[in-house]
Amino acid sequence: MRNHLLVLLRNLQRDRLYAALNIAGLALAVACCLIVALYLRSELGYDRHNVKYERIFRVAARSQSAQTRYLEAQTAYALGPMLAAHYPQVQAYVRFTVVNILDAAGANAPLAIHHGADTYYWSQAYVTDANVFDVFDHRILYGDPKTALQAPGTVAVSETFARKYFGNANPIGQSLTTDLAPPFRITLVFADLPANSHLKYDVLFSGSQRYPFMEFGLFPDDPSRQRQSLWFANFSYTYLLMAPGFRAADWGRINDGFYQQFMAAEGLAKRAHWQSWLQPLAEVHFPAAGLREDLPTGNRTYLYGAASVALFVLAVACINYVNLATARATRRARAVGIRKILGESRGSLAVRFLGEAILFALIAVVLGIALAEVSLSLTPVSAFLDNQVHLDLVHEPALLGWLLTGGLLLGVIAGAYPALYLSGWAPLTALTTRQAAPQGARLRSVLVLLQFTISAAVIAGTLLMAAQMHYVATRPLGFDKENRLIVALRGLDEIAKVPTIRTELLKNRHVLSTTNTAIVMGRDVNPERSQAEKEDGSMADGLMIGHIDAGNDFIPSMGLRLLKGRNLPDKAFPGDQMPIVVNEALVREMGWTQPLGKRIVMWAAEIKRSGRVVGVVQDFNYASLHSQIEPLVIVPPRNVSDVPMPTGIRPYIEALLVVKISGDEVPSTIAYISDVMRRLDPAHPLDYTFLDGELDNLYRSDHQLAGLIGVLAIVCILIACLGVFGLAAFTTEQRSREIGTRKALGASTLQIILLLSRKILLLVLIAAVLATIIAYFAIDQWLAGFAYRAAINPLAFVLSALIAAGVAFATVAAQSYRTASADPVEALRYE
Amino acid sequence: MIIETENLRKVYRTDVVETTAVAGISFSLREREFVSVMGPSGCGKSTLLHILGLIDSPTEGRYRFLGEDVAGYPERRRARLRKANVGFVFQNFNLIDELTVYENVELPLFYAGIVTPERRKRVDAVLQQMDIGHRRDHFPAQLSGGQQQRVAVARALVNKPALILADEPTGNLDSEHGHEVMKLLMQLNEGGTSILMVTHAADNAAYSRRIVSLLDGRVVADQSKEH
Repeated sequence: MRNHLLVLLRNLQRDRLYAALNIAGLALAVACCLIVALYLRSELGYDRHNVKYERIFRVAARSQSAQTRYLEAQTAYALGPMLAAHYPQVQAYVRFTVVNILDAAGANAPLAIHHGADTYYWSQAYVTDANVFDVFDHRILYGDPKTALQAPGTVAVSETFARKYFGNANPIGQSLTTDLAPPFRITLVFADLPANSHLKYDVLFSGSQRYPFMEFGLFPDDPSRQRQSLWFANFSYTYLLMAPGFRAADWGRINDGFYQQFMAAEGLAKRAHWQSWLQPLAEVHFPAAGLREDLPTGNRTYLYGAASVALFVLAVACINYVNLATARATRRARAVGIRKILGESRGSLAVRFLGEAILFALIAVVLGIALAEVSLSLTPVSAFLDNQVHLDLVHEPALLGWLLTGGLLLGVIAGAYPALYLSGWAPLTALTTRQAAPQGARLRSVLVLLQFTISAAVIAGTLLMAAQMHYVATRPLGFDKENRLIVALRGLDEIAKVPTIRTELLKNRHVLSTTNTAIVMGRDVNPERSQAEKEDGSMADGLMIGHIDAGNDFIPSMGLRLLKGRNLPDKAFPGDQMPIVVNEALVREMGWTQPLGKRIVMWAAEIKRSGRVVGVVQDFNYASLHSQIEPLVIVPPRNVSDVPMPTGIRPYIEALLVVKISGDEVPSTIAYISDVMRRLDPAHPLDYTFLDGELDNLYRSDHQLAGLIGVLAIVCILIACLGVFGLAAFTTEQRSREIGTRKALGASTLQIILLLSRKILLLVLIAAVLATIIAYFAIDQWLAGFAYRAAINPLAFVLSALIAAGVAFATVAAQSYRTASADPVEALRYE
Repeated sequence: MIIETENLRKVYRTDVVETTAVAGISFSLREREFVSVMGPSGCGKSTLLHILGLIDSPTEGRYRFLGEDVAGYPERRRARLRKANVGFVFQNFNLIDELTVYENVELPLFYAGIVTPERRKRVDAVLQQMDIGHRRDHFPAQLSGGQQQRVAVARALVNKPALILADEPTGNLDSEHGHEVMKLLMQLNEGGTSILMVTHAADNAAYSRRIVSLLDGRVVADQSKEH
């Protein structure tokens, strides 16, 4: 054994180029696989840090009528307690209710939280039940989890939150104010939740008190209203801790019983049905298709894709190893022949070669770990993976064990064929052979072909994804998105000041126009159950129409194009005479030949609005280009004094002001806007985003995927280059006498290089054809997720072929240049 | 008798060509003989050597080695016989580059399963005998041609084989080193080792006691010398 190892290390030192090529290729593959494996572990391990995760379920619900069907991840506030009260299988419930607005837009507006002069906005703020720390696991830094949220006016905060306001000091007992209610007292600080938690929060308000914004869903003293709220007050994420022994298959009976007892009568009256189902906590991150929820979710398809990609890279590296090992066969043949003549068995020789492969693989594992660490720390790779990937061998020593075991396995897989091949030669053949057997050469050609097929396919994929991303960024959307700030206005009192705010803003010469709206492009247009008048005058029912509630200057300010009729007027209107501007999609859906004057009725949370069509705008992409343009109406914002809601809701109503700026002197313009807002709304520091930035965010996961594929392309082509470099080295050596002879007969250096690269270039050409087929189908599949897509440009395939061929040629040329340009006698003397 | 062959033939076949390297050779070698096999290039001498050394197998004919009929033996059986009874000296030395002089010479003992202390003793002894002990820790690339061939001879001897086969043992050496190696072989033979040498050089053949001449795969002469 010692002798084996000694000889292995000597071989490594003697043949440094070969060793370096192999180890580099394997190390790249190890780094790639390690990063993907850690990402997969994070994605597939979502929420499993909760010890009781196997018994925790989120309740999701489907409500449907003849016309509509909703799949909601949020359910009514009353659902959890009602289930727990009537079914002993429900051991506990915890609800997370977003601190939300009740405007029709339903966007999750960040909450302003003040401590002294410090105000910050927090999106991840929920009202929750006091037993949250019993059901879900948290690392508690300060406070008593058993009592922290029992009393009204208490709040638990994250470590990030605490540091923001209080630095490293203990914040227990400190007071916070919000628009929510009277001041809160911090009673607990918990460590930031793991990155792979589907529900990440920084602030948890005690549910022990009633918050005005939740009035719609509470009705604790009115059982009838409470039962009604089960149908529409879907503002809470409801989690159930089921009793030990509970089987998810039994939930159907519980659901049916609950529905019959509490909802069936209402359902009959509405001609609707409601059904709940349980999502195991560990699977919430990958929700059912069509489920509406506001939390970011994972995508199993992407994970399978990532896993496939990692395996591709590993396969390419192993192919390299086999290629290089069999190409070196002639160098090893003599030693193999001598050993066999002297009596070494085939098995012993095979073990020797396998040992070499394992040694390379283990060195590659160590280097791969270092490479992964560098990549995660110093390149955008970590950002592409949502910063979920962390490599910490100090705190996870078991991971190192797994990696070394993996290295062992990698060595066996990569080294098996070369070991069998090299040890299988007859002693005399091994001793007298001058070049590798033809079968070996054919296999190597196939392996190079496979490597470059994978590389060229990935390069083509990268180019086409970049083309689609460029298309997405530059395609006209039907409205103007540049230089638009979206400023959040919080509270009805602020919204009432909109005319004053606008007047003040327009005093700045770089502020060109302003318009108020409930939502803006890129956010959910919240389709509502609607009716619309048909051409024959009857009303079509069961329509789902999205809506933008906006001021009359919204259409001109956003650059929308009116095709027919007129804009929304700047004047009041009777309740059922709301002016409505529709888009072409709605006109097409209804088959209107004369859309102006048609009646439309809409319901939002049982509140009815109706009016007539006064104008038609050209279709515009208000949502991401993944979706088709659906029917949409633009209507005046609701006069909130007409909307029946408790007075306490007033602070939670949010509107948006879209401010069009010139694009010159942007920082000073924003500073001016900030000043105006501070004067008119001192409680809320300026909260703004740029519209084009928000729209870009719609494609975040696509950008991430494109970035990852790009990284993969680089890795694949690098590994393929290493392989080609090594093969070229050995080919050059083998053909040195031929090269010398040709040079003596007058061949130029370029002619020699072309001679040596001819075969590889032919293989790359074949690989390009195969890669085109593979890449076409793969990219077509990805593009199917976009309703609007760039055409698949054949130039991308040509370019990827040229890149692959160029890289292969440059690699061969770099390796063979020295021999090709040397004095012919050097090559001839070598023999 | 160490070697006895009867009508030994070796034919190489490809899709288009059939080449007869050995065309029916009947030959014998006794203990303590030193035989040279001579002939022009391509006459089949090396092929004959490989068959007699159990590295290759004949296409036809009988071959008895140390009384065993080995013509139809598979490689595994041949290897067992070979490592116990035959030592090889090649024209281009065929030392293993990544092993030291000591390790190269030790190899046959290692494959024969000899324990480490005994291996050490035998290797040391044969290195002394070949006067190459002072280079035991050097690699082949660090030795002259003559030194490398002495190492090869040491490796061939270390297992105390019944027969040493030498294929053009001085082919890659200058005349001085070539004579050295030939004297070494002669001394070994005088000490009782049987040697079969392939050579095209008459000077080398003069060291042996019997010369077998080949032409076109056949024995055309077989002469013993009186010393």
